[in-house]
Order: sequence, then C-alpha cells, then structure tokens
Amino acid sequence: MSSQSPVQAVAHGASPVPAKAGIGLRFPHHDFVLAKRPAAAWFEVHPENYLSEGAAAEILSDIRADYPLSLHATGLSLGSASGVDEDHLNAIADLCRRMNPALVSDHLSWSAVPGIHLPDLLPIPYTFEALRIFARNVDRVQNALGRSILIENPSVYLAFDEQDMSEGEFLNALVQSTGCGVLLDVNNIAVSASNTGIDARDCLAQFLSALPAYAIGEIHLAGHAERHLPDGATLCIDDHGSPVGANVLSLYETVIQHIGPRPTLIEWDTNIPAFEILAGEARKADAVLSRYSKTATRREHADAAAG
Amino acid sequence: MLPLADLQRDFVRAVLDADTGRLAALPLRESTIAPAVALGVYRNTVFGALANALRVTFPTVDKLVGEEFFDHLSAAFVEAHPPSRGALSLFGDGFADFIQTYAPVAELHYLADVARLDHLIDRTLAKPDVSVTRLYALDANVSLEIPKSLCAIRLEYPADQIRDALEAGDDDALGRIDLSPNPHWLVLWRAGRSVMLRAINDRAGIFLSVLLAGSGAEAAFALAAADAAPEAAMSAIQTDIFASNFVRVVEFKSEREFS
Repeated sequence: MSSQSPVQAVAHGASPVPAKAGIGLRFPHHDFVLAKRPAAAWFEVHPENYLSEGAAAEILSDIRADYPLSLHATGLSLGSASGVDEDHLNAIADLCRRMNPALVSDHLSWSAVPGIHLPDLLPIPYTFEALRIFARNVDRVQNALGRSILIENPSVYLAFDEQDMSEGEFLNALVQSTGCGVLLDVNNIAVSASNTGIDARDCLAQFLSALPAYAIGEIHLAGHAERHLPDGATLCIDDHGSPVGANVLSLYETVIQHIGPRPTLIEWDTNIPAFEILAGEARKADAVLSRYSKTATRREHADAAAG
Repeated sequence: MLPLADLQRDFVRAVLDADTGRLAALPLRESTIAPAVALGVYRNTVFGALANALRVTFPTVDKLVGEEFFDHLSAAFVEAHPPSRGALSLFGDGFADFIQTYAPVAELHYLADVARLDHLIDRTLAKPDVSVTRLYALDANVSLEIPKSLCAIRLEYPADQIRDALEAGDDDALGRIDLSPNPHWLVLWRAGRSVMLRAINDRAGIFLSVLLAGSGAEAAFALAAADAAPEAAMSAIQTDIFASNFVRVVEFKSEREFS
C-alpha cells in the first residue's frame, strides 16, 4: 500500500470528500435531501443536469452547502479525435466556479464526432494515437478548470484489436503525462471483463499492477444486469439498477486492501429506490472501508516513523 | 488500426443507422459478445437516453400520444436530428417543428403547439428566479422591470388548456376542449420551482415579444398598434402588461440586470 496521498485535487475552499461511502444524488431525492438533510458522507452529481442558472442549480447549491460534493461529468467526450466542445467545457467550468466541488471526473471514453454527440460512453482503442488525443483533451480540460480531474474506466461491450497497451497501462500513461487521477469503477471492471471474455480478478490485477495507488482518487460501485443469450454467452449490462453484487463487493475489498480507503460512490440510476436503500448500500461499502482504515493508519504511522 | 477520427465516425454511423456490418468492419477483438449484440446495447442506451430526455422536456406530448408512440416519435426525431451537444437537458430544440412536419401525426394539428409550450416551460424553469430582473426603457423617464425568465408565446391551438386538463387528469375537461384554431398569447415566468402562465391580449403579446427581442419600446408599440387607434392599443397594453403583477413600471434607470 502506498503512503502517498491519493489524488484529490481539492479546490481552494472546497470541503474535501472523505474516504467514506457517498451517494450518487439524482432528481427523485432532491426534495428528501432538502427536507431531511439525511446522514451522507458526500454526494456526487452529473454536472450536465445543473448547467443552467435555473431551479436545478439552485437546489444543488442549497444541498452543496451541507455536504461535500463531487461533479461526475458524462459529456466532455475526452476521447474525441475532434477535441473537446469548448461551449460545454465553459459551462462545466462555470458550474465548478459556482459549486466549488471537491472532485471533478469524467470517463475514459468518447461520445462525439463533429456535429453529433451521442449520450453514451463509447469505447476507445488503447493506441498511442488515442493516448496523444486523450492527453491533449485532458490537458485542455484541466487548464480550463484550473485543477486535476479523475478519469473513470468505463463499461465496454466490445474491445478493439491491434491495441498498443492495456486499459490500465493507458490510464497510467495518462496519469504520468497529464497529472490526472483515476476513478476506479469496480462494477465496470466486472462488466467489461465478462463482456470481453476475461476473468474479472485478472482484469482487476492488471489495473492494480499498472496504476500507482496514489493515482486512484475515487471508487465507484453499482449493480449491473445479466442477460443470458441464445448462444450461451452472458451479456452484462451496466444499468446501475440494482444493489451492488457480491462479486463486485469482493473485488472492491481487494482494491481497498491493496490501496487503502478511498472515497467510494454508490451509483443507482435506473429504477431508483428510496434514499434509505442507497444509504444501506453505502453502509456496506463503509463496512469494508472501516476494516482497512485502521490498517492504513497504522501503516502511515509506521512509514512516518521509518522516515 | 484505423485513424481514431475515422473509427469514431464509423462507430457513430453504425449506432445511428443500426448498421452491424459497419461496426463489424472495425478492428474488433474476438469476444464473447457478438457485434450485433454490442450494437444493440449501444443503440438502446443512446435512443433510450434521448427518449427519456425528450419525455422530461415534453411531458404533455408524452401523455397525449402515449409511451409507445412517443418512443417511436423520439426515435424518428433522433435519426433526423441527432444531438450535437453534451448536455441532455438541452436536447429537444426543433422537436416541435419536427412534429409539425411528421406525417404520422399530421391529423393532430395541435400537437406541435403542445410541444412548443412544453419546451418553453422547460426552458423557463432553467432560467433565473423571478427576483432576477432586467430593465427596459419605455421613454426617458420610465422603465419596465421584467423578470429575466419572462417570455411570450403565440399559440394557434389551445395547448395550455390541453396541458392543464392532462396535468389535472381530467378526461372530461380534455374532451370538452375545442381543438379548432384559436390564436392567443401567453406569458410565462419562473417563480421558485414553478412556471407561471398568464393569458394576455394580442396587442400586449406583440408589444412584449418585440420588447423582449430587444427592438425598443417605440418599435414594440408601433407593431402592437398596427391597424388600431394608438389610444386603444395603449389601453390594451396598459391592462395586460403595465398593470400586471409580473412586471413593474419604475422610474428610469439605465438598462441592466438586477437580482
């Protein structure tokens, strides 16, 4: 386990996101959170839902006053060969100025070609050309925001041939060249591994060996759906519509054991349940985090004592 | 490996056109999931997300035509006008005009107006609250203080009545609405988490829309007073705008925003 601090890139004055389980805040829970101010270590939202100066942004501003906040973008299309949409980037930068989030992130994917933006996280080939383009786009975003961002590994349903490196190596190269951090989505590792015919534990091991622990600044957990196909294959769909599966929780424990406690988000985006269900999922993650927080603290003291 | 720009162009076309052959022609690694299945997942995500975004913006259209037809309508719109921006909340400009020309709903003459009103309500909710205002000079001494969110729309059909009846779940009221053309003006503005609607007379509607477009009070009044005695036009504007509760007539200040 590394003794270096994980990438947080906390803006001046922002409440840091603690190494505890937070909750992905969606519109159906706005009223509940505003009225009850439930216990939650932190919230994460998609900034694309709050870009206007209207009612939604006012609600977020109100909630943000009481909870640490992370902005998890879906629309920057960092892997686009055509570059980053400057209008969209400016809107995100403006929201960051207004909300002062502790963390900002987007995905290791692309969504746009000139004139068309598809609302999905599409796969990129892990080639040197894609790496140059992705790094250029991350630099552009980080310069505009004046801070480091985290890049999340996405779920994929196909993989490209003729690649120059693995996903973990690609992310590590990005970290080294841009100073960005990594948002490790453990559910996405399970989904992608299954869909591309790789063992999930082997896939996770590749990530953990390729990435320095300090680079991983946040973790995502979610549920996924499994569909058995007529040809005998199993299709995993990253639908964020169910509790975190036992296999994903087990992978998560391996991650925390390896890198130490990290801010961990519970994502639930379809068939959204009552807030208390999400809080229950967060408690599961907190139970894992608490098992390793004492170990991490002892190790940090030992490292400090050893000079 | 293809240049990334070419790969991405082909990928987008494969998703939008349901073209498995184009996707399979990309340098894909052999996998447990066939390209056709993978393409189905990407298409479901894209078209599902866009249909849901349109459903949020156009709730009255959705209620009128039903979920299944709305999905069909939104898919046709997406194929003709795929989104160009990264914020789903901004998707839907042009949906009303698309409905106006979409043959399967040609008999629902009022549907495009229903979409226009839905769209304007959604966009008004995304504007600053009523307390944020802007001054428009009426003359050298007097200005009109107007909420920045305020806008005016001329509807050909009773889209507002349709929306009210559907929101109330009142099928009897819906059935009683006269669906023949009935041009009228509405003003909308945001108050907290609601959008307020108010009917105004034609001359007030013309005056306000021209003023909000930035053409100045003199031009706005000239257009509003066309084919009418100036006193009658001023009286109509006085009644529905100057004396309303959504604007304030104030002593002149330079034109700017207040909050």
